[in-house]
Amino acid sequence: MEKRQFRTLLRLFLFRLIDFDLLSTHAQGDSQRLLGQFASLLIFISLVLSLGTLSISGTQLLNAWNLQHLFIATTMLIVGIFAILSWESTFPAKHDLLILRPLPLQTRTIFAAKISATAAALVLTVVCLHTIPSLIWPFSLHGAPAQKLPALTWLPPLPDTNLDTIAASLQRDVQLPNPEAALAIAVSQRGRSRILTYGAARPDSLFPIGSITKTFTALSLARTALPLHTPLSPQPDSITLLDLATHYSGLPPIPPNAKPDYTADQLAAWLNRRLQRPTEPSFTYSNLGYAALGQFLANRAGLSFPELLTREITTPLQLPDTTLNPTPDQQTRIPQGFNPRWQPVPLLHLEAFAPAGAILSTPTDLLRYLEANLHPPPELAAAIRLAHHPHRPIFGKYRIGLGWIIDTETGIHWHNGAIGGFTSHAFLHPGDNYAAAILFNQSLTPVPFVEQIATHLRQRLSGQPAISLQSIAIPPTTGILHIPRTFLAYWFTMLLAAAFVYCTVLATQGLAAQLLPRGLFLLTAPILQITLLIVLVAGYVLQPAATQATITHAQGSSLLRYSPSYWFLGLLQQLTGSQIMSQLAAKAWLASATVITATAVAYTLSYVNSLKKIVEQPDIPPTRRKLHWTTGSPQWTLVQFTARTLLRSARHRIILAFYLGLGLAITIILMKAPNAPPTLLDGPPPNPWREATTPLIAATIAFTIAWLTGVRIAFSLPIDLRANWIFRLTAVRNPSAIAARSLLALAILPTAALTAIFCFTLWPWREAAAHLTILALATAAAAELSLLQFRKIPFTCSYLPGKSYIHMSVFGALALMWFIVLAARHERDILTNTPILIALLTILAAIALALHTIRKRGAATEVDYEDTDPHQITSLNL
Amino acid sequence: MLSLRNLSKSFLQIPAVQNVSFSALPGQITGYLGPNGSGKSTTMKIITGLLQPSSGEVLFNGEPVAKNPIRFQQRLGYVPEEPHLYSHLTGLEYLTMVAELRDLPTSQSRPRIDTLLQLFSLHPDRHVPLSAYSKGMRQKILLIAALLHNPDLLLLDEPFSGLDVATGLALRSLLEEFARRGKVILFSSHELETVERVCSRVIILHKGRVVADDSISRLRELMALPNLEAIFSQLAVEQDTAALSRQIADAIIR
Repeated sequence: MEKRQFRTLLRLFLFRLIDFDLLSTHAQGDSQRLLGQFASLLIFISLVLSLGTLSISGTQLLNAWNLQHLFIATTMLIVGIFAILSWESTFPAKHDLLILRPLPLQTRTIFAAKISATAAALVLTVVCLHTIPSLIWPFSLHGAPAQKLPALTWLPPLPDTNLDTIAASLQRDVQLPNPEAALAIAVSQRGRSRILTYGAARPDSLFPIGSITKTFTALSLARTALPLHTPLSPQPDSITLLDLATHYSGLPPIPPNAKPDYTADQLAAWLNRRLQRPTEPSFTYSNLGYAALGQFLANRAGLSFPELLTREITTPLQLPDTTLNPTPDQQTRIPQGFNPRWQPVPLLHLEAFAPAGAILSTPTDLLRYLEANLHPPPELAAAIRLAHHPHRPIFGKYRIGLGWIIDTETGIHWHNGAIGGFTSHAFLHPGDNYAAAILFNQSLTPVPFVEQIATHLRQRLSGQPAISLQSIAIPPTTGILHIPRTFLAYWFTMLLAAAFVYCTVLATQGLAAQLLPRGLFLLTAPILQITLLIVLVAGYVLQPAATQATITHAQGSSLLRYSPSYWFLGLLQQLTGSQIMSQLAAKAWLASATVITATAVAYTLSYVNSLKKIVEQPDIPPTRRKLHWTTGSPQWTLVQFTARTLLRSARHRIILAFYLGLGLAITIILMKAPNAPPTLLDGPPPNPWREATTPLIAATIAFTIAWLTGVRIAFSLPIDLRANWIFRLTAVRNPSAIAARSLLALAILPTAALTAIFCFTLWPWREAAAHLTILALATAAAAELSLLQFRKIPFTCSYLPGKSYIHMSVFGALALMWFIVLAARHERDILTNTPILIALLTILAAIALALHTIRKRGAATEVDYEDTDPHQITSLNL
Repeated sequence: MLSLRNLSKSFLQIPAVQNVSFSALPGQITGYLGPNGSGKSTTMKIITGLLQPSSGEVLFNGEPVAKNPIRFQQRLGYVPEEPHLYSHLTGLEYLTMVAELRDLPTSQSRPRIDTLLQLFSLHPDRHVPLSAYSKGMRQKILLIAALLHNPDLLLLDEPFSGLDVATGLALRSLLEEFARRGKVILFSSHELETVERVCSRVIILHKGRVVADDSISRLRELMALPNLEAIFSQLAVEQDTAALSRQIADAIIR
């Protein structure tokens, strides 16, 4: 008998996950259509995700991690939203108990049926999402040989930052990846220096230093008496020397037809017609720009570039082994260079591009050069000061001096280099008085060894925990067992990740229900639900892609170590046989066990403890509020009804919260690093928050749009169809005016108020006022547009599934993002230009007014209470 | 006066109401009776305008209601069969909303709502969401909402449902008082005893058709039956209830 009861309840609970109340009668009473829409959306997402999988081959592990992480995070997001949306149907609800308790049912049967219904829904969701990719993955990864990768873990900080301690730890920790390798690490700290060499390297070995050359070229520029804003050609708006030295010239990285033996004449010919400054200069790393800079300086001095270098830098700084044309003796001291697969490659000789990357130098010379940057000799002091000035922004915390890339947070100045068979890295910290150079005889690899050592050394010198220099062996993905193993590991990880996020939501809800008094729980539950949703959506969007760097951070002490999707990425690696993310995998196991246990406890307690309480107490606690206001107008009464519904209905709040979470995430992304607009004036960098920059403008637009969309979409879902009779009987008219006023009250005014607080606090009042007016008019126009065909009172019309074309909205959102950034960029230019600003405001006002008039003219007086499909086939009645 | 002329309504070609004609006069309480599924609520919904008739028309004071439905609805007070309310609103919020939708001046509606809430003993719970109200409390809210605007016509579909004895008695007197003051009252109920006491006239519906339309005393006389229950049983109950009871008991107890 219990089995039969269980089956009946299971069916009941499973189908309850779909809200029948929302459906229009035109949906033919068909919840399957809603289910079908949900499933097709999941399959669509899975297809889009699978496209990336096809391009992965086993050797591209880093890209594979990134995609795997995306899969895991997306699964967690979808299951999380599902868990939050079905919040009320997973724990015993009052009506369940009122109906089921009088029946001769064991509590455990209800309990088991609820759990099974939830589990079934969960598994179905994951199956829809992963059937296709789970079949592709094992084959994509198949065939990769065993690989050695950096361990991506951390070492504790050393007892002190003394150079001897650091040198000893380096001697112990650095292991060459190949017997042919030649590695030199030159460190200077507070006047003391050490040069550590490994393999074939010696302190006087000559290494091609690649793009570190650019700092020499730029220093040559600083040494000349030329103003930085000297144009390259007499034409107006010509590229300046500063543009070339800071990569703001708009020139491409290399000319399309470039070869190493590209001559100065060919370069001059190519450049001749391309010296116009771009209208919107931004950072574009350009070897071509540096080649042009070097040639320009050399021509102007009437010297060749090697002669210029000798005169300006190597002679005054006494760098005998720093050269563009090594002598036969120096040539014998150049180690053999290798490609990523440790095959020898010939030394590259650059002609016109020499100023961008052709210098050879020894660890000893390079260290002397860096020390001169730390403690400039009097004759170079002014030039080095100018070179170290953070002239222009790159992105985020990075700015660029003359050649040097400056991390404004840590104060580190750095540049790296890569040229046929060699890689290098140089950094200095003028404030803390240390510098280092790392030189290595292998071309750029996906995880460059020099970068790993440079990061490690920087962390050691600043006394922080340092990334491990150990490497770890990734087993080959071949053999008969690989494919089934990857397949099973994939499914296990995805299901466990889904279970983890589902249980986290349930455990939070269940424990809150147990720990809080029932009344307080009912009051806080909606807040909890919305907070979880916002955290989930914002977390998903804000998380960085899984790269070697982010994985290392996730295994260290950064905020990323709290990211569950990274934990499960680690678990997937562990299950497929690689221990590279074993720390993350351990967290996945521990967290899953904890959360599943917590859920089990909360669930059991809720069945044991809460059953009686739930039946006895009202669903909504009585309010003690005495304040009650009236508006006196039927239309505003309905606006008030709309506001109350949005505030009190969990379902509608969730929809709004979803969009707010998305808006918040986009806003945070855009505001994270507001770059100051490039300025030609030297001086301290301006505070990017204090100006109406493109990202800040875009952030306010994105937030407003997300809010408006959330409210507008929530309007379409009914609160209680059966209670509509009161509106029909009281003959409510002109629904679009009601909806327009509701949008004004619930979306436009709140966002305008928040934006006003933000803009007026931070920006000059004129820019703030101009931006707010533009935003208000644009929002009003968007609101009018969204209500053109609206014939409903918000929250009262039935819902027809399939009409919203959710899958198309993915493309819509991408297009929108592009549009927002584009609009923000144009707006920034217009804000300070009064005539154009006035013209824009007039046009926007005219558009808003026109849309308002169109909406009012076309507005139906009758209200729709039943949703119909406008795309139905119309019979011709022939 | 409310008149129905040859009113019919079918759902998917299944007739619910067929050719119903009757009048309800001011100063009278007209009872509208019938077994479950006989078409009472359908008729009520057609009168309110919630449903469109398949044929026939409704007239109020000689004027077809369909001509100016809004004017008619302004004079109509309706208590539906099921207490469907926006349960996320409090009692006071719901009534205020209805008053404003009916365009009552705030100065008039506020004291009226307050008085009615007190008279119906809902004043202490006016700030409680309707979802926490009992069935009887919801029924009271529906009654207040129907009376707020001083309607000329009251359509009451099972108005006594869920009410306690005291409120039921009060409502009965209230209906009599309203009738005395010239309102048209049409109400349906299964409580035949109440109907017999308050209604001057009854209309009995069976399978969508009017099978009786007269004063109760005349019906008693004509049919030579002692009370409304007997009249109703004869006109609208087909089964022999005693035989049915026996069959039911036989089906269960063997």
